[in-house]
Amino acid sequence: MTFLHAAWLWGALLGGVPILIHLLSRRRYRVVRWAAMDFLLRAAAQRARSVQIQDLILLALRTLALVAAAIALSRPILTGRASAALASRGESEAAIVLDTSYSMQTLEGARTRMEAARQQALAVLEALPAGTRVSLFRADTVATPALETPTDDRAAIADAIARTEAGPGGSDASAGIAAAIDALRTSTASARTVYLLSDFQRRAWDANEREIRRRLDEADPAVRFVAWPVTQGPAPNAAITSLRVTSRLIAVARPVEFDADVIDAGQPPVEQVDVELWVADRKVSRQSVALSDGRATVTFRHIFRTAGPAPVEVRLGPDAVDADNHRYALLYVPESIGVAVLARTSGYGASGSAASGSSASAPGADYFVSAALSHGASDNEVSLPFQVERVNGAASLPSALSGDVACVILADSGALPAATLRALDRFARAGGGVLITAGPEAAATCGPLRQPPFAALAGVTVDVPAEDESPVHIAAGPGVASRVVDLDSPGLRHAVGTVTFWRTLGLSRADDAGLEADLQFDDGRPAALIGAYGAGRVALFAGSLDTAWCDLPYRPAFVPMLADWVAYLARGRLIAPERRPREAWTVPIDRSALSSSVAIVGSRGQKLDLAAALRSPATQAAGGSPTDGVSIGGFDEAGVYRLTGVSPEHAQLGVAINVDTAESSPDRLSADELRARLPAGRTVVLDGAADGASKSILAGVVGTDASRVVAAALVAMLMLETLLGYWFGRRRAAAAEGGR
Amino acid sequence: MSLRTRFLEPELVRRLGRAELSARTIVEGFLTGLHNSPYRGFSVEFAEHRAYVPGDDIRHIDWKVYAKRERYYIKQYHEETNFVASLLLDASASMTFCSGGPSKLEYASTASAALAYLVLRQNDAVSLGVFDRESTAYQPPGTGLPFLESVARSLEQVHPTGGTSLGASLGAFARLIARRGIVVVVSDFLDEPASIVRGLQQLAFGGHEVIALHVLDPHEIEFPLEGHVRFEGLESADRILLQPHRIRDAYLAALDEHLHALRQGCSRAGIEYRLAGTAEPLDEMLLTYLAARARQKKGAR
Repeated sequence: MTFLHAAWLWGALLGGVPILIHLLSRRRYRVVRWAAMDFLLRAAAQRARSVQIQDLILLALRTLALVAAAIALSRPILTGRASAALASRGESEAAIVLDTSYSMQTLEGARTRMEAARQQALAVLEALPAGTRVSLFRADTVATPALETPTDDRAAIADAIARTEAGPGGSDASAGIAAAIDALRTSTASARTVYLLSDFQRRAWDANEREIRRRLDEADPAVRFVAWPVTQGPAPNAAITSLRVTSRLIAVARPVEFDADVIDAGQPPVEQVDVELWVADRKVSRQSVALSDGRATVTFRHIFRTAGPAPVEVRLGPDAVDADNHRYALLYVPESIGVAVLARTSGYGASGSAASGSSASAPGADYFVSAALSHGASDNEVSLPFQVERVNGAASLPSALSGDVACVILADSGALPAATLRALDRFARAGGGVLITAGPEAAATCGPLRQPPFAALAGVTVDVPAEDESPVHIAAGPGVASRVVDLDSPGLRHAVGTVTFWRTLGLSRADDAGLEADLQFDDGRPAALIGAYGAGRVALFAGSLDTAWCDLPYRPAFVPMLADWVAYLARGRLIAPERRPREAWTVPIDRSALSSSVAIVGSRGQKLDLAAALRSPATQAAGGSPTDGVSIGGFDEAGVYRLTGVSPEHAQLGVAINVDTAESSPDRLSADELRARLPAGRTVVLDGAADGASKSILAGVVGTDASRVVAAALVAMLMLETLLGYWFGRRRAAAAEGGR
Repeated sequence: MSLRTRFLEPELVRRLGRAELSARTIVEGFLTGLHNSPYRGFSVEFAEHRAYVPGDDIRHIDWKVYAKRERYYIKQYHEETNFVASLLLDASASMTFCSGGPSKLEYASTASAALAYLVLRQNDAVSLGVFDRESTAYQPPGTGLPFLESVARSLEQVHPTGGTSLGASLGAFARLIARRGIVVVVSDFLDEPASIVRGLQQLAFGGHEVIALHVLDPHEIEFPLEGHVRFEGLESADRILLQPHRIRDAYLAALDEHLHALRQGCSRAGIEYRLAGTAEPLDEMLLTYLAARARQKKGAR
């Protein structure tokens, strides 16, 4: 039993008042000199015992009445079995949601938030009336039942609570709320309560506010909510929020730069941190940076000496939260970047320039591309890591895509068969890059781009121009002058400058097309669109890569610009995708390719149970087997994972699992904000640890208020006192009358 | 204010003026006419015949009886005599109790004075005895209203101090009062009933008509006290703190038992008992008592 207003218990001391009054009244008497003392003494001797007993009874009743009044005012709350005994039928059901996002790993003082939440959950369990059926959920971005079915087996519930640990996931408040509401939806219990035990990070509620509101609106109005924030203590914490490969070119023996963003995400502030770069589980660099502004970006430069997959990790020293001290990336460092050029014409003089009126002796696009990527930079004594391969005919392209090709350039490719288009689509979605350019057969080339499977580019409109289009220019202007290509080498740093186009594809994009203008004409129209496409990237250039449509190949920026585009487009094959823990990774392979020999192995040797991963909620949520591959979920630990045991063409499939460092935000919802976001009138926000006041308030929420019972007892005692007093008096009077 | 008027206020005297204290039994008297004398003589009212013995006055021979029985009989008559009324006043400390009105002693003294007045007015004699446990004071009989002044003076000089030992005190008076008459004992009778009755019986055995006038304060009769009260004995060192209303029934039961024992004892001994509360107006008390006594006397004749 606990008391909501324990201070009133001091009022129980008033129970001594009747005794005090009794004693004091004995001291306040009048003296009567009496003649008939014998009668008095005889009467007193005769009545002494009964008077004492009556006095004792009345005194006890008065004392108990005052004590009962004090107890009633202190709002006694019965919990556990006592509560069940007092409650009408003890029908209650509870859903406890334990936040298991990685912020709950935060070490605050001597214990983590998770430990505090477990203690609070046990306090809830202890307070619940006996017989209460309990559902327990572990919730981060998804909510997972910790008990197979709701149960009133306290030992089983306590065991499940004790086994609950914070994972690497972020938090989505709507997930836990939805699970709890669903668990109570079919309950017929008269008392249904959802207990939310979390650190209540603001972002987890802000990001999902609409969904939370919808779920709460759907909930039965009888369902009550108890939000119990875990205690807040000092937690100095720095977090790596991102790890970016800033170098355009990734290849062996070339310096590759990484930027790691570090923020101060705790209290008290962290002034300085040591940041380490680990490659293939080996520390290769370390820097110490100041977090004077609360954030800093650390740049590491590393030269990969061997080709192949390279797990990269940026790591911070230990602090309150370990999960955000690691950031992973998986690179496939090539000897050279394979580029396939599909052009119907080939070599020097393959095509002519319509505007210039030149003859057919003008070089074709493949010539310019090969020259630019393989030889064009030689004059600047810069070696570019491209391996250009010319593909003869669109039909040959699918087979070319199975090798080390990271980027395909459609240069005057002509009409593309459907099979080629599908191959290109898969290639791009799996991480490859596709550069689509104009050419003499622009209509034939671009037409299919508006059809499936390239329908994902439907937001982009490609208009094939008439032959007599007036020249347009990419002119120096506000948007153009700043377009500087920098391929990590002074010799490859050029501004685009002015380019004259005789003909242009009319590129326009919807706002949600997902492609950005990389170049634009001086009239504002986009000259190049570039952006993500599945795991890969796609670029659309409004001109041709030969001189048929523009004079770009003769411009100094041609080589760096083309190299930059290709490097960008190839990154999808060189840098493994990044996913959040528990998020599904869609592997761009057929399900049939997942034989028993296939495994997913982490860089530190951790293995993922593929069968379990394929059954995981995240996998199911992602659709299991989407058209572009197989979804694999269940990554519960951050790190780098690679698919092993697959065919060579899939040897480069891997994923980097990184925590959502928004979870590191120290910004938490206040109690008032929580009350505002949860249903008014049926929400209680507790404050404090699982002892003291919070436990009392919790008891008030969970337990049965016995104050009415005590008040009834008080009234009964007062009535009994009055009746007994009256009865004793009447009895004395009757005896006195009888004596007359 | 004379001592006489102190105890006998004019109004009391006026109201008692027509009352007469008459003995229910035959007493010796000094005056004839009102009281039948136990000494049979030759007076107005025939009593009985007895055989003539030599020396008797032949004038008293009833010749009619001689004519019938041829033997000499002497006619004897009741002689109305004056009598001695002995007033015995309890002067123990318990008589000083009062709850607002007159104390028991004041009431008893006034009643004694009133009785003395009535007796003296009809030419009877009055004697006064005052007693407590330690001492007894006795004023021999006197007649005539001037004697009332002497009685009043004696009453005035009463200073209650000691306790009560009624049995012993009344026994002493029984030996002291030689001539048979009426003995009126005025007391609160706060003693053992057996002892009291024994004392009264000793008086009755002496041939006296004994009247026990029991004077009690209304608080002693009703016991209406409330709150916490510490009672201190008037005749003892006893002290007790009580809530009187809590033991009222037991007190009244004890009082009732006491009164019952007194009444029963008096009744068995042929002693007239009258309980008088000090709240009861004295004249009313005496008038009703005397009226009742007069009725009883007529009934007895």
